[in-house]
Amino acid sequence: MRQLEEKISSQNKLILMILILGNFVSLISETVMNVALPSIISEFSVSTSTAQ
Amino acid sequence: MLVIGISIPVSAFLIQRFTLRQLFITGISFFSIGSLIAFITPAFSLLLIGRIIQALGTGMIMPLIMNVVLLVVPVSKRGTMMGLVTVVIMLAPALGPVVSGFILQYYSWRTIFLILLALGLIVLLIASFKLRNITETKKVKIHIPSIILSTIGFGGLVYGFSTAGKEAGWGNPIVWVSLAIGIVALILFVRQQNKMDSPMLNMKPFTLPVFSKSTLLMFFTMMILFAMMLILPLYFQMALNMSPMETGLLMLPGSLILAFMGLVAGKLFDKIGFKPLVLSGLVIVTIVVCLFTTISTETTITTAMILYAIFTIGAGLALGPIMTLALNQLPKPLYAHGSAIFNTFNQIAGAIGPALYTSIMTMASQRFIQASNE
Repeated sequence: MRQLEEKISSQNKLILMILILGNFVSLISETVMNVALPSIISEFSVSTSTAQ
Repeated sequence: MLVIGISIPVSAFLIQRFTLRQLFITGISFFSIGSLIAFITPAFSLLLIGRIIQALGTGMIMPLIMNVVLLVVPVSKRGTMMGLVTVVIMLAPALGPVVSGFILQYYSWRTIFLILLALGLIVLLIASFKLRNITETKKVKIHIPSIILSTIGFGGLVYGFSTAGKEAGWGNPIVWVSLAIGIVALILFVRQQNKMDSPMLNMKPFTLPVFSKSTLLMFFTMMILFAMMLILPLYFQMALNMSPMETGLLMLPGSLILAFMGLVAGKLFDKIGFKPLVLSGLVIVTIVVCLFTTISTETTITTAMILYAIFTIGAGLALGPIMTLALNQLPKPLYAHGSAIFNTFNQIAGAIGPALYTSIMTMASQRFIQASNE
């Protein structure tokens, strides 16, 4: 019983990996905009404050 | 940020009501649709809508992971697993600017969203084939007044602090009004939750002293970390005249150390417990923050980088173990609520920390300009 409790099943590991992957992708998107703002601003010609 | 701050408090409800599979797939679909809109958009307003849909997806996905870690990882292994999770939470936002800086040198900003879309679709594909459900669902009722109150509350708080970080700063009445509204709504929200039989967000985790203390500790450490990640690039760009791309690269070693330390601290947590890790981490952070008060335009880039690297060692040592410690306190029925509370604090720290520091900086530089005019 104890042995069972200490191990994470491979199915659960897979679930964790998928979740971590999803988190990674979606969190990257949080900050990618910061650097891209200047070129977006110039394409749409809007002011900096609206862009933020 | 704003959207996430609002959607996370609702997540405790969502996690109880729907299966993991449903939530994750919906979240990642939102994310992909948002990316698609941002990729093909002909107008700026549509880009914003795309970003909001993206953020909604992120807001749905993010709280899931802590909950699943609590459900499937035994206590003896949580440190290591949480270490890995913190790495992702820390590293991804730090990588964002570097990646997009790199892409922008060769391609248009639309490419960024195209790549995000592709990644989103890949994750969606894997998830729809491989992701099994492991959570139990309950028929919990939606309590609309709670949602409205929490939205106004967290929205007001996050909006107030981020407005304070902009030009007008603390003199702006909007800041005070939205903060006041936010706080009142939150107080009402908490009171209402305590009265309900099955609250949307159960406040019981706060009755566990270790949980409250470590959540607070995490809140402050996160504030410092987020502020550092904002101030340092500004310093590199404005005081030392470097390009965004160079700045991103300069910040990268620190982020990598942070990630590495997160993993190490996680492993150590499972072996030696939280105390030595959290204490030594926080001592290092405090010392480095003191040292940072001495930097000026005269400071060399190397010095700033080394300081930041040491800072990240400290932060990396402390953060993961603090989080694990807090979450380990929770009994099973409170998993969803505890991790929702925790994520919410995390997000608010991210909004308040940088805003607080930029508003201080704006005030200081205005005073400096005034002094030099006289």
